[in-house]
Amino acid sequence: MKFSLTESQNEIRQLANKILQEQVTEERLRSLDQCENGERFDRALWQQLASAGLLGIAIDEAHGGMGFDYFALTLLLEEVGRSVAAVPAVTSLAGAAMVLTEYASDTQQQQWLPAVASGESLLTVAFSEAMSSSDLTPHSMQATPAEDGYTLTGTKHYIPYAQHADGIIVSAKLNHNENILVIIEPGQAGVSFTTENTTTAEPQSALNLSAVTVPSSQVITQGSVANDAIQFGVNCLVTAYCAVQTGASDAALRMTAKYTSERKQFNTVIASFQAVAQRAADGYIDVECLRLCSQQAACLLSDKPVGLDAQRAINDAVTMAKIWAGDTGHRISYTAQHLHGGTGVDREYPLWRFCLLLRQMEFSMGSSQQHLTDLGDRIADYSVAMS
Amino acid sequence: MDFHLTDKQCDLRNEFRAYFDKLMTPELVAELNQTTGEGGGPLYQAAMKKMGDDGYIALSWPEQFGGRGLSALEQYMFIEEVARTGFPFPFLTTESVGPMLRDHASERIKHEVVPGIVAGTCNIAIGYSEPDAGTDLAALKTRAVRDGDEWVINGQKMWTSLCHMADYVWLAARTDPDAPKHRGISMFILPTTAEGFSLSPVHTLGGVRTNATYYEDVRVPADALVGELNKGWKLITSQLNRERLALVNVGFFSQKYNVLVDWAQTTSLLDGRKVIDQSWVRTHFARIRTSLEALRLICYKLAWQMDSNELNMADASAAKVYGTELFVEIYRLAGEIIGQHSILKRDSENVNIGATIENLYRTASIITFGGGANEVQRDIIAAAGLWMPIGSRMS
Repeated sequence: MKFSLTESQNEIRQLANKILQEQVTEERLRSLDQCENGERFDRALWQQLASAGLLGIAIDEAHGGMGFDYFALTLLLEEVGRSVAAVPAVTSLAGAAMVLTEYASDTQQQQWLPAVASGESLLTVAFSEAMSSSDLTPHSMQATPAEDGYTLTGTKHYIPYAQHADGIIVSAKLNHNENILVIIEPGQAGVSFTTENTTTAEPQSALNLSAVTVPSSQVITQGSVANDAIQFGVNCLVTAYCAVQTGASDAALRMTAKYTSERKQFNTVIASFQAVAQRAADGYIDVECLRLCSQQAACLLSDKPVGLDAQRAINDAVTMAKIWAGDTGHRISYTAQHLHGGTGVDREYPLWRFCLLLRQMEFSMGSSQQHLTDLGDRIADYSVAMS
Repeated sequence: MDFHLTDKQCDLRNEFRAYFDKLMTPELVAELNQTTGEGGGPLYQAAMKKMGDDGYIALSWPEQFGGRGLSALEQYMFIEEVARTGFPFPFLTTESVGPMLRDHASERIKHEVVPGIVAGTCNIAIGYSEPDAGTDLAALKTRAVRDGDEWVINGQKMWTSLCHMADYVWLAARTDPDAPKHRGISMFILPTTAEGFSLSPVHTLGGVRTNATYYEDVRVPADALVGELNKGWKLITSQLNRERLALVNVGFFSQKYNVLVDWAQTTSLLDGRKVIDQSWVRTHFARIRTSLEALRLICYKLAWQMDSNELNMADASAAKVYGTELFVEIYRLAGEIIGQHSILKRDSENVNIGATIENLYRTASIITFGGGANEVQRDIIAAAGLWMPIGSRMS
């Protein structure tokens, strides 16, 4: 048990914090707010993060990255949440690049990872389908064997930055208990998008595949390994959302503490009213619970699990972290808004973006209640015992 | 960051678990159940003495005082294992009062009292609270006045728990009535056999007996003063974080969670389904498990902070608030899972695991205000954790 960062982890965090806090100014966010639907993407910032090496934190040195583990990547993600930066760090780095690193062939890794680390290429992940929740097994996206590969037909939803991506990792159903994971390029015949406008204005899309031919060179993995790869990708994405949520809730809470320490009513700062202080203190506890559960999930995901128990421990830690991400996100968002009064909803003041981000994270890849239901089923099955 | 126990910590946990498995005989468990978990019976006394003989009482103490010099994290693990078994180990004596006596008492007291603590034969009650001094403890009025070679003590203490079985009272008294309230308090160790000392029982909702204690011209030798004159407040607060951590140890419910899940997996409802086949029961369990996981991590982080001298006051208060309110909530959720059986007491016929929950729920109500009311803890969090200006109460 150790709760401190290593020296190099500290450096990563400080570097990410410095760049994001300096660059993501209120002015810059306001100009991004003017973007057309589906275009809110801070490309200049993304290139700055690339130049600093931060897009390659968890990419092997052989592919132009820093060669650190997934946990180190979550340090960047927490800072992304803290700054509400409009960048595709979760989907491209924590989703796609992690899946490729663990499951793709050397050729595929060579094709994509150096370009992801340099910021030249952007990847995203298409796991979610209509009505999918915390269960992200593919159902409606269907793959059928074809000459040298497969044909894919179906629709995926809520894909972050899909129309900006150079490659999209898509999960599909092969037969009743086997799945497949492929990487689609947007220019392929039969690929089309429908823009989905989200609450934060982060660009998302539905992906429609109509008999798209996928040669075997684009197949990442299939069969039972594909199920493991999907589970791994889901765990990485969900935990990434938890890290973003940690940074965003911490920032919103601290903004609230500062505001209430300056705002006067009845001739005194409102933070000195015990009702205000107590509610903020509850927020502090919530953020701490979320932070610890997220860090635990990220650390366990960075281990190589050996055996069923270890794999279960990872899945359970990720699920519990997301339950905290949903609950804490909701409570912090509402507490921050409420304690700010009218200022909290005024778009001239920066809080509103945090509240929208917290809500989007809360409902992305499974709400608290959906994850509680999953965890409850696992408790019925194997107890999820306390050591 | 590392969320795994080291091999050494795993060995230690296994050692503790094996030791308490052996210590907790069915006869001892039966005796403890009769005494509402407060101990004091002959088998409890024998178990304490055995722990003393085996060197298991002052594990966190330095070796020259009969301990093993465990780190705060290892000591937390020890308390987790004790709490798992339900044995009413006197943490306050061994972790709080004991170390203060060991480090700050006069030579006579060190020889007279400290060996008994390590041996498991000496019980000490804590005399902090008074009728008008609860969370605002520094408002205490009990007086100690120097008279020649003696101190003369007058006043009343409240909630002096376990005092009816105690050999000594660890007493906070005012020695300088003119100083600001935190700077006029001193600490004394006073034998319960002293003339002028008396007590009357206070019976609580939980069934646990506590006491009001009275001090009428009680005379103790000058060297019964512990630590420096008028510096008692610093002494009291030096151990508060450890006390708070011990109070919310996840061990108080971790094994009960396991037992309760097992019960729900194997117990049938009238319609033939198992208890755990109800979706709301599964969600209840998922809530309990997720909350306990956060508590587990909060506690381990706090213990780790103590060892690395990075203790954050806001985090200690956050652990106290979160843990105590969580226990009350969990006992409710557990009661709901069990149903009406969770109002049957241990001494009833036909009891199941619900009797444990009945007892826990009834005795838990003290933890949210005991050890510093949670409202005050939240003020500390807002001030020390979020830098919010504190209200007029603190100034």
